[in-house]
Amino acid sequence: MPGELADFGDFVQATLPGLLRYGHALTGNPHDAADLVQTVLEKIGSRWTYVHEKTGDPLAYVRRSMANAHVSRWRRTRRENLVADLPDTSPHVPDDPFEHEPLWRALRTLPPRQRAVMVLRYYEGLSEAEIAGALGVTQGTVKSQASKAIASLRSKLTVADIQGEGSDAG
Amino acid sequence: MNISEDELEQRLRELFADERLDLPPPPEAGTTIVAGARRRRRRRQGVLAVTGVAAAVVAVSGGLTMVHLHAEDGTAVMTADGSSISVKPPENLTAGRQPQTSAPVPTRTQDIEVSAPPASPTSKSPRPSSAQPPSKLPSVLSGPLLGSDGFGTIKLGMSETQMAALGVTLTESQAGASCTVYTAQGSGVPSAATVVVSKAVGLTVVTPEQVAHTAEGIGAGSSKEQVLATYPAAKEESGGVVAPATDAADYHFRLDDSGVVQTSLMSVNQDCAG
Repeated sequence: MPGELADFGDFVQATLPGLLRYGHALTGNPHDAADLVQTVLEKIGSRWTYVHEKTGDPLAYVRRSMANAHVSRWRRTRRENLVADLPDTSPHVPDDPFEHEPLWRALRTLPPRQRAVMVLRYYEGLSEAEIAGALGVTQGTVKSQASKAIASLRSKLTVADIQGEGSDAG
Repeated sequence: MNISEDELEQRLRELFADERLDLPPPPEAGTTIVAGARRRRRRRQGVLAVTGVAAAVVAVSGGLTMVHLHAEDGTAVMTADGSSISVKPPENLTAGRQPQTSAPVPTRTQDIEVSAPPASPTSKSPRPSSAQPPSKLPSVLSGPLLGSDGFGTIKLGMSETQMAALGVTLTESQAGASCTVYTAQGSGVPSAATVVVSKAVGLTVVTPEQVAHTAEGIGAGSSKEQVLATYPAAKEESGGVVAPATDAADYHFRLDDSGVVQTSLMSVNQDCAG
């Protein structure tokens, strides 16, 4: 069905920049962002007719799938890969633009679900109920994950960190 | 002194609104993704009817191919200059259904011995030039050789430890209760392959990522007729043909319109399929 995939191609072209940005926020680094976006889009593209017809809002569906894929798969795979002694395929890893941001680094220490809750809340601006729906968990879980995440981030950030953000002096 | 919750929320909003979160899409990203979607769809259609581990392996190896692409794409993303691109504003999520992966997790468990004697392949001669000369039966020798008892140094029945000792790096990609799917790479194998290892009976399935050929000259592009002619005991299965390699193992050839597109070696008695 070439027409259908052409339609999907247009969708990809239009949404890719926004999705990469969203993936960057979700995963915390550019490589994983590109990986996540590509994986999710390819899966969804392979079922494009279904997604298009049944969900009504493919972009929302993609974003939700990305959050879920990040929570369920990403972290696990990467952990296991560490054990398996992967060959280093990328000798040159470009700098993350936020490498020196205390808040970005603190976010990196969060478990993936807590991070996803933070992104959905403060990037997407979703309510607790919407986040619960997106991640397929209860509102209670969202609440507790959010409060753990906030507590964890606060414990890692001092006023001095924030004020000195962006400068490496001292 | 730690920052207040309000301050933190404010900082989070600022960070997530930062334009440096933008990542310029690689030039060919759209094309690559559409091609990937098409490939996944084809795979899934081929996979749907195949049960158990065969399906898991097909689907997983599909996933792995993607990952390789990603590495390149990811690099492209990063090596592109950081020039800003227009960004669609975030849109709210609404409820929908999560897509399901097509790879079933193997569940059935039974203890079966697989210390198989390396029986001889059912048919050694590539092609008997007998009475009914099927007009064209060229042997396929492209890709790595998938043996009747294993792939390179790794043999059916081996444990993870034994394979690692042979210089094979196993990267786990999917774990089930009794079986685990890995990518096998390194000096011990002719090329990267997806393998399934059963806790009970060791290596049970090998699927080279590149389409492998058999000693009998069946490989990428071989037609169904060729496969059936080469392996008289072969039977058609959903999406392909299964042919006995030894008493203990079968070749599974996946076919589409272009002929064989994937070659796997699978133990006959194992606890991963189902």
